[in-house]
Amino acid sequence: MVREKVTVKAKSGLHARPANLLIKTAQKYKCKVEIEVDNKIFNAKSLIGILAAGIDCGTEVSVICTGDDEEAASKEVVELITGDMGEE
Amino acid sequence: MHGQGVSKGLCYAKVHVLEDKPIQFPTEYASAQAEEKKFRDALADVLSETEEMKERALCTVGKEAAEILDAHCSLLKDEGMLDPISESIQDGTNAAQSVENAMNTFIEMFEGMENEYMAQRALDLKDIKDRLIRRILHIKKDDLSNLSEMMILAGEDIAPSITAGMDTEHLAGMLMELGGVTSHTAILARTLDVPAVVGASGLMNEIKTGDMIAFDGETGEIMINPTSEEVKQFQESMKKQKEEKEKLKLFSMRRAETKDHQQLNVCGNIGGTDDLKKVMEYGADGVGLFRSEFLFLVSASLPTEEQQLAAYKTVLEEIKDKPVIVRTLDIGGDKEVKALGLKKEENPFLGLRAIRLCQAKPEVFHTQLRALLRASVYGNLQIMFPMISSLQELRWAKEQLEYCKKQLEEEQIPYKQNIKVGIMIEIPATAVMARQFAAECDFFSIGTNDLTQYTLAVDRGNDDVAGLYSYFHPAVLRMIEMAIEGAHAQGIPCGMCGEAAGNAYMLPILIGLGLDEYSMTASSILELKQAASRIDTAECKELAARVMRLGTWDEVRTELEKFVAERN
Repeated sequence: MVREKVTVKAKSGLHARPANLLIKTAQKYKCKVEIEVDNKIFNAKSLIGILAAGIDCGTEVSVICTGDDEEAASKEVVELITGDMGEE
Repeated sequence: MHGQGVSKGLCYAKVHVLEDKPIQFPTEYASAQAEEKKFRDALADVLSETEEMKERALCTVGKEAAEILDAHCSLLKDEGMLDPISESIQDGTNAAQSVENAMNTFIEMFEGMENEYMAQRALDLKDIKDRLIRRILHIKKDDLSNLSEMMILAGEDIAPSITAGMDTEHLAGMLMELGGVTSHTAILARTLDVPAVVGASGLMNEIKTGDMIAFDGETGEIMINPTSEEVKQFQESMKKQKEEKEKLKLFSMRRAETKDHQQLNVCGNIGGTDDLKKVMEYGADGVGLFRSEFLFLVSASLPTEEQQLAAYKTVLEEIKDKPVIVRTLDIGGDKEVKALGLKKEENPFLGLRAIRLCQAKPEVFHTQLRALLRASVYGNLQIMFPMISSLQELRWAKEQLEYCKKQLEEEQIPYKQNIKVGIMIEIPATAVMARQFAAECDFFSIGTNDLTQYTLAVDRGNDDVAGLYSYFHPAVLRMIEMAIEGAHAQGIPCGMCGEAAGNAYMLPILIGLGLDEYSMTASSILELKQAASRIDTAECKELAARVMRLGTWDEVRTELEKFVAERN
């Protein structure tokens, strides 16, 4: 399991398009990809899960990857979340 | 029972009631395995159906609608949504109830987020939930695209989305609990020429699918499961009406002409490709007004050049060589077109509408003009600009047309030479200056609805002043006279495409004034042809000269009624 703490940079948080981007990225990997916020864990491969998490810009989250390709998955997801995710 | 008759005709048929009843959930639970299978099967069906809809939407209604359906597909594959449903099934709740419970949790959560985007997702989820549950419980959604017998369609409200895919061949009539004369349903019924009654309060409590209903689309009277005696009587009236209709039908074979054999050009007004059928069936000489707005009102995004081209081409090809006058976009702040992002205006009828809006958004106008030019090679297309109030506007619009022609030439796309270009006469300023306008265009068409409202400063949608609205007002008649005179002075034809053109009482005046073309909704065509056959041109001229000098529209109307009654 790889676990990394990051801060969400996308201006509109993990809603709408960024959320979609995140799950599309997570879905590329075989391993389990989860996001932890306030001690709650959400499935990062589920749009509904991510939307339900209601993560705003500036929120601190943990990216947790568990499985075969966890290293690569963690790297790409963390990079994505700490970037602007296509938002201005 | 009683409602408001909004589309003439008698109707007796079985009723289909559009229901919006809550779903009855069963309590039975087969086995975890069986329930899970029910759920997965329904899911697969709904998913493939949605994917199909998405493909279709891409070709017909556009990208935006397709994107929403794409989001539906993602949700239907989303483990975050599907897992809780499966878990609930494992815990001993049946498939339908599990879908309901699990999805409601998400729906409530999204609704609570006070965020436009999330509210939309909540609607998506509701739609998906509804379809899944109906599939699991084998509840058929009202499918009206293929009816097996003549049916009356009834509902509290009949939404445009329902009537859009309806099998109109088997539509006997429409009944609605809500609504008024100008409701979508009323307009649709008149367009399709089927009887309709709206505003029938209490209707939905009284009827159910399969009931026999007799109603009168003129008086608004409704009989539910009438006795055999009542049916007999009603059917006799229907027979009489049918005979009358048959008599009228004879007129569809011939062109309109007066008693003294002066031929009249009678055309149809259409708002889309659907109403063209009736116009042709009644033997019209062409389309005097093709409202292009429908293209802009039906979809969430602006219609592309290709989509517009396809619509214009369909009409031109169907009607063969007969003329089709397409009016360019006539829309303003009173109609909501999301894609145009129009502001709500204090006074939309005096605001940024029609040609003025096109001036503000030239790219929208260019797309339409290009589509029209490209369509011109498929038939006899004419272009008409609405809401022209000054020569500058007419000149500007013509310049844009030339600009688009040049573009097409550069792209080596063909269009027809010498396309006729005309204007609507619907603003008093234009009627007054008719001669000057006639020198710079190829035809006029008088829009009496707006001309009356602008001449008399009356909003006819406003009940408090609607009584002041009448195109029999001598001032309106003079506006019409000026327009016709101005056109004829420059040797161009002047038609009319407002409601007055299809009015049997107005007809003698218009013949007397020498109007060249009468364009109306399909349902008025036959009656107008019949009315024309009873009157004589010379008498009409005399009548027009006399009536134009009268002082009030009451006097005008009385005189006209007398004239028509004497000749029936």
